[in-house]
Amino acid sequence: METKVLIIDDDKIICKVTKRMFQVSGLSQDPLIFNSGENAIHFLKKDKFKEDNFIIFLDINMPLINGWDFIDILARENLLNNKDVYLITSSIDPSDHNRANKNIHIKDILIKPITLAKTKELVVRINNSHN
Amino acid sequence: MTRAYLNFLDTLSDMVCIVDDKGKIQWLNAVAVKSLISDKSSLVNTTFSALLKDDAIKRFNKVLEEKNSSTPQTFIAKHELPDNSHIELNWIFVYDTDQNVMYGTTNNPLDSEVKVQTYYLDQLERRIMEQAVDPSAALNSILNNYIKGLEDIFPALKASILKIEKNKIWHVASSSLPKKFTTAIDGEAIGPNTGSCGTAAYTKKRILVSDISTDPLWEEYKALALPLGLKACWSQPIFNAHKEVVATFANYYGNVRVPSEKELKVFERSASLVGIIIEHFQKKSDLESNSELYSYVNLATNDAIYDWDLLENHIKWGESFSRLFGHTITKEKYPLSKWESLVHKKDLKGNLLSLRACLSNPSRNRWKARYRFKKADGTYAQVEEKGYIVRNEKGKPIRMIGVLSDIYEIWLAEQKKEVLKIFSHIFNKSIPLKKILEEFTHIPITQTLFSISEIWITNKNKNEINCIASKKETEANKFYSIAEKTSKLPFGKGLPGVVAETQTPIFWNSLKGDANFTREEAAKQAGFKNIVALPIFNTTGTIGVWLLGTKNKKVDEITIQRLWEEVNPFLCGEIIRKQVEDELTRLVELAPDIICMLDSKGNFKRINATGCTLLEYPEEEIINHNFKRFIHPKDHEKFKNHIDQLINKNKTLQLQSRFTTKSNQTIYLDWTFAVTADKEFIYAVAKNTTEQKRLQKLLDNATKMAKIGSWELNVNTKAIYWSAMTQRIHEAPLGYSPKLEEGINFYKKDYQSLIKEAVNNAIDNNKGWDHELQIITMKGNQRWVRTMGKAEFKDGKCIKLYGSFQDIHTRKVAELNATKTLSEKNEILERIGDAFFAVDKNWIVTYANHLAEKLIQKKKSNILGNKLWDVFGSDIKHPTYKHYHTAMRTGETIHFEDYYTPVNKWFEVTIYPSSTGLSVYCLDISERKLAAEEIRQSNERFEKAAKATNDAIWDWNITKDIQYRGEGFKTLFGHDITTIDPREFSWSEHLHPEDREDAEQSLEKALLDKEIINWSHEYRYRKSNNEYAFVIDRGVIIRDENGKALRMVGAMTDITEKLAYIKAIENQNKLLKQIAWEQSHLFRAPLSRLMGIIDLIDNGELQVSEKEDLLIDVIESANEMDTIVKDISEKTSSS
Repeated sequence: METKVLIIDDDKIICKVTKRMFQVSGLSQDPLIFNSGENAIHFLKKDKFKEDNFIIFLDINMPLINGWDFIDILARENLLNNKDVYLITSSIDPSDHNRANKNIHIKDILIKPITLAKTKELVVRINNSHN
Repeated sequence: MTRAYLNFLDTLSDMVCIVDDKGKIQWLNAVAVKSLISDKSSLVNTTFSALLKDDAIKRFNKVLEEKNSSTPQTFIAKHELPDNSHIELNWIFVYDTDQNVMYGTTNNPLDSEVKVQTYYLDQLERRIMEQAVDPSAALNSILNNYIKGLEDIFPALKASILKIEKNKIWHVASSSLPKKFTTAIDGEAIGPNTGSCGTAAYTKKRILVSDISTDPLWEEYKALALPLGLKACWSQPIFNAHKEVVATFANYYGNVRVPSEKELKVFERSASLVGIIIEHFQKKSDLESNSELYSYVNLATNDAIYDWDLLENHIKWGESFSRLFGHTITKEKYPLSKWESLVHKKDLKGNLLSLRACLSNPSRNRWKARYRFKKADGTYAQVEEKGYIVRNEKGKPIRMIGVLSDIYEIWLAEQKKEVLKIFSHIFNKSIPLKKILEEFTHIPITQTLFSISEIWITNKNKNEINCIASKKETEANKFYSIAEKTSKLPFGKGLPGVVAETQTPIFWNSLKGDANFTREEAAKQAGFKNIVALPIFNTTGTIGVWLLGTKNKKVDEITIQRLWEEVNPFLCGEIIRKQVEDELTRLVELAPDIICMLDSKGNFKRINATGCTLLEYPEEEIINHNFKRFIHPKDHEKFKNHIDQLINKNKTLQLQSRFTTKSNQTIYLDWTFAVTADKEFIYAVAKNTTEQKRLQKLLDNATKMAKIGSWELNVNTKAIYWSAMTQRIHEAPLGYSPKLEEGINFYKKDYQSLIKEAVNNAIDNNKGWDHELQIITMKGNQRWVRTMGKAEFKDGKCIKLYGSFQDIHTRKVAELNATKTLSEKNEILERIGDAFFAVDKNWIVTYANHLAEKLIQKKKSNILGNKLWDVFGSDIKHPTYKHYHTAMRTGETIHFEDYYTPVNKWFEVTIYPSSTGLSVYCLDISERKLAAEEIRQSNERFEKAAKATNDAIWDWNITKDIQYRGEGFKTLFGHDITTIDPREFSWSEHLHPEDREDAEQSLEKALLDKEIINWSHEYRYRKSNNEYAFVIDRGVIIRDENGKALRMVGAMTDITEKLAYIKAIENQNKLLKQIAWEQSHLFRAPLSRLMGIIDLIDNGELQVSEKEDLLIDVIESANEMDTIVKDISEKTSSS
């Protein structure tokens, strides 16, 4: 089964750069980009995607629905199965990190900037976990 | 025909002519000759036809043809007279078959002339009135038509109508007068000698000039008139409603002419018609010029014009009739009865009577009436009718033309006048306001008598309204029995309350209703249809409300409202005036003095209740009686003179007099008079001083017994008045009154300078005196007297000295003897080195030596004989008092120390009791005490320091456990130290519960530790408002030689503000940290973005185009960072 990669961040430049990094690093040739949590939820709610595997890169600080809200909503809808969530944040707030560690759906918390080195490392980790 | 018979015919005033069967004149009588032909010779062979013209010739020929007819033949013929004037004659011809001649006669030619002319005149007048009714007609053309018509009827006449404007005359209608004449006259001023018309207009009288050539009135104009053939001129002034001359109507003749009685009648009649036409048009143009009404009167006048055909009994109304009164005009017959049905029934009878009287009197042709005329909507209009009656030749009225004018405004003004007349009549009665208002409720308004009428008056606070007067009418019984009894309402409640508040009339009717009307149900049930509530108010507020109720269906709201607008100010003023008057009356009645009014002869005209009570007569037995009846006979003359003086010199005067009451008691009255401007009346107020007089008498008797007399010195004249007693003491004859110098000379030589000084001192410095001195009486006896004197000042100047004079000889002599024996013993005591004084058992100081004198700082004379306490000037609560009493009571010797402030010295006092009282020695110990005083002063300094500092200073006497507290306790903590007992005010109770234990322990520890002198502690201290102040309390402990704490002095400093300040700084730091953290977080967003892009460019193996693309993002991110940095710096600086 194919694993889809989603980037959810209200910062369009970040999305663009991250996408390009994922392509360069070979994580995904065609990551899907959403600029708001709402759009992403809408997308994930579609029946045909319910069984698919997703790797979601999620920004914490977003207007309206922030990263935490996003996770809460998906959890309530029972849509978090077969989805790996990576939080992305520019925050160096320790409380965010504590919270991330407590949540089983969150694989890791990545601190901006995302770099090619970090992505490549991530590719290795993901591949390992899948194998 | 006998000669005699012909002679008889010659004497007749009728014309007679005899013609043969061919129509040739055989004979004419004298009148006919005079009137018809110029000379008798021309009669020969003339036919009668030669005297006739046109139509008349034909008619005469017809008479000749039918001469055999049995009935007389008549025809009317116009003849030209020798003076070129024309007359119309009614000829009657009778044929005499025997003589074959015809006898023709006219009745009195002038009679006949007038009769025929009257007929034509009627015709003309009717035509003119019809034209006048036509709304499109112009005044000038109507007047010109009229005079043309007149000139046709009276061929000799040239008529002229002039209008008068600003006292100048202008021709309006005078087409037959020569142009040269009219243009010359136009614009001439009216005056007493200005022809016929100018004079008539000026004098407002008819001017008949029969001969212009001789009449002085025409002196100035005859040169103009005579050559133009104007020989006589009669002129009649025409008046408008205000009796001003607006026009003149004139008749000119080409010959000298005196009017006959009948001609005068015609002349007057014509002038009168011209007057009606002009007045009608004046009214019309007045209306037209009124822009407000212009639209209504565009097509017709605002008067309803009618034309009543009496023969047909049909009234033809002008268009404005329906507009004015709302009745539709149909083509049906409109008989007088229909008009009658619309006239108000109360006005109808009078109308018909006067109309009939007018119609039946042939000499009258104008009718005028005022009445109420029903409109289509049921209300009545106030109208004035003016009618012009047209009569036939027999004087029978055949037609009446006139107008009905709406005179509402005039009528309203009359109503107002009428109402005000009634109002002022009632208000001028001298009865209380309540009675007035009760009468008031019976007044009809706009001719309606209301069966409910209530007057409500507002209270002084203007928030409540009370029913003061209402009338009890049987028609309203039901209403009052159902309605809730209401005599008081707050503003805003009930109709009176609402009207009082809004000052706007309310018109209630049973159909419309009104939520405010509390008695509405009662009014409806009792069958009332209309209730009117009218405010009585002025600029200061509502005075009252007039409530009216009627069972009538219709109430003329507009009229009432308009009337009310006019009447309210008057009513308002009258009520206020009456209220004041009532109050004044009450004041006069209740005054404790007699208040009365007398006429110039001294008869009582008014007197108040107090006056009646005092004189003990009922009012009616005083009023109109002369004062003589009541006055004490001995005062009679004085009183009368006084009144005369009052009248003649017009002064307000005062007078004391005795009056005798009904029960024969004498009372003393102090009168004050004032006279009215017209000197008709005297106002007088009298105070009953009987009781004062009695007391004065009593006092006189008492002084006599005490041998006290009085005296008075007039400072200006230096004259002295002595009372009888004073004279007796001096052994002077009765009535003796010395000059100042003489008075002083009565004193013994040794005392004269003293008394002079006393007098001068009194005059200069307003100082009184009281001396016991010796005089030598007139009989040479020496006597001791007590003289007292006082000054009286006016405007800063002494005007009078007065005082008492008492014989004290006996007492003084005894007193002097006693003193003499004592003085010897005193000498010893005087030499004692200490102050010494003695008091008797009654505390009277009997002795004081010179040191005591110094100590007490009073002269011996002021010490001796006075009570000890008065001498020291201290009250009996003074602590030393106790010592004296103990000594007196126990008989024990007592020592005590006393600081005597007047000399600032300490004394050791020893009191030795003795059989007669106490002997007291005072030893000066001031030096010993000085040291102690210094301590006291230092304490005082401390106290002052305490007041000056901002801190709360305290001084704790530990042994007695008394705390002194400084001002700071009030300024810092709000505790009012002056009102709180220091023993009640606990320190520890004011500590914050959390700090109490700590503070108490800290203090206790400090006090117990002998080494500690300074103590300091921080705690929270409760303020009077129960907030806590943070304080630092610092104290110094004062200990005795054993180290025991005796006293502690300290100061509390409020550091609440300092603490708050420190706290604020801490908060600020916290805030700044937070801002810094938040901003750095924001800052990280673009930074991390940049780092990502750089990483990508660096390691992403990108195409050049891709790199360029990313460069844009780099720039954007850099800008964002820049913004954030700016933001941060702004925020940190503002926070």
